[in-house]
Amino acid sequence: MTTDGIRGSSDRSILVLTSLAGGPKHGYALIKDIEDFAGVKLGPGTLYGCLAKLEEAGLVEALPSEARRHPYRITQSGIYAVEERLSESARIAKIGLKRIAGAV
Amino acid sequence: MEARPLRWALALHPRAWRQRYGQELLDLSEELLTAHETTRSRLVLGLLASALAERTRAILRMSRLAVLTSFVAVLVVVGAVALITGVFAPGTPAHTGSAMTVGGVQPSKNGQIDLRAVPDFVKVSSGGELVGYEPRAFVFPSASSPVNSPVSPKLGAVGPVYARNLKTLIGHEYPGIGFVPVGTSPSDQPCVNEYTISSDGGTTTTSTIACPTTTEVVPNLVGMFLPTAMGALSEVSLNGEITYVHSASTPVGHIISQSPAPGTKVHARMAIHVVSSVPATAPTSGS
Repeated sequence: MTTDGIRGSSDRSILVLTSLAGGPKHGYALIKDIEDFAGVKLGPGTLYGCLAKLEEAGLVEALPSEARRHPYRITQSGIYAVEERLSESARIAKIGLKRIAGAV
Repeated sequence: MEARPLRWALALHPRAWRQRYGQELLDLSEELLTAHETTRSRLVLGLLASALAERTRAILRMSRLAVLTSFVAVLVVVGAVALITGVFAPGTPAHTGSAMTVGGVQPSKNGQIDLRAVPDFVKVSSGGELVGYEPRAFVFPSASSPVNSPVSPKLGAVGPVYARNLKTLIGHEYPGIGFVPVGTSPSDQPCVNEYTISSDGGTTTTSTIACPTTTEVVPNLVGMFLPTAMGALSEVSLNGEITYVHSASTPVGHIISQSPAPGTKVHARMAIHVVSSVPATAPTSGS
């Protein structure tokens, strides 16, 4: 029963949630932050596709706009969702790395 | 500003999506262009791709709705047939599917509870009926362990817990969690010896927290189920301090004795010492 917003091909949603976990950000700041920590440059269309899905699932919420910038923040549900996903990934990564080390 | 191709690409998105995110998307695109982070043609290509994705999503969602509708229709027909033929005799459990609230806070549509709205010590009720009390501590039903079977609670989160689980939680080491204290906020600390010591560059400061001037009457807890007793204390702004002792006469999980005695007037926030009954052998998890 993975939350709707981060099911399936959701790596980008995880990037957005991870970025927002560090504090509320508007679109431009999100793109730059994700580029910094993940080396992935999201286009505005992709970014808003993610934000729309995440907002619909209640994992992020829009904050009042400042001039032409529109900040978003992560919700408590979003924190749980991303925590669950990241711990799962960490667990799989650990097993995978161990197996690879064993295989050499 | 030469933004026409962008607007065309935006116009290909589903209308609801466009109305919600269209302006934000244009604003962001302008900002990226001004900062020379991208080119106009790249933006247009990206928007065409996202229009396709959003259209697909809208169609998928619609067909999901159609599937749901037909499923409900089948259920209604089956239900009507069953009602007429009397296939299903009465005897189905009464409480299935009743909504769960924590501290009066309703879960959102995906079942999560906004913890900022939950008080430190909360009543847990199911279908309007009080089923127990819960300290604001450390358990959350995850997807793999649903609400009514918290097999693997998660550290650092709060969630609905039934009283039978509380018995194993409060004041105990819990597998995967550690020791679970009663309550977590500073106001839950006992009123005796209230001082804090902070050390800053060799200077040690001790500050005392004054006892509240309000007094409370200690309720009678003897014979109560431990979580209920803790809840009763929290209702009058008092704290509990639990000792576990085996007793042949008092059922496990119930209060054998208390100190100070019921009716005594004490400061608010003071810890009331209660003795709770445990099995003769070491307590094990599960009932």
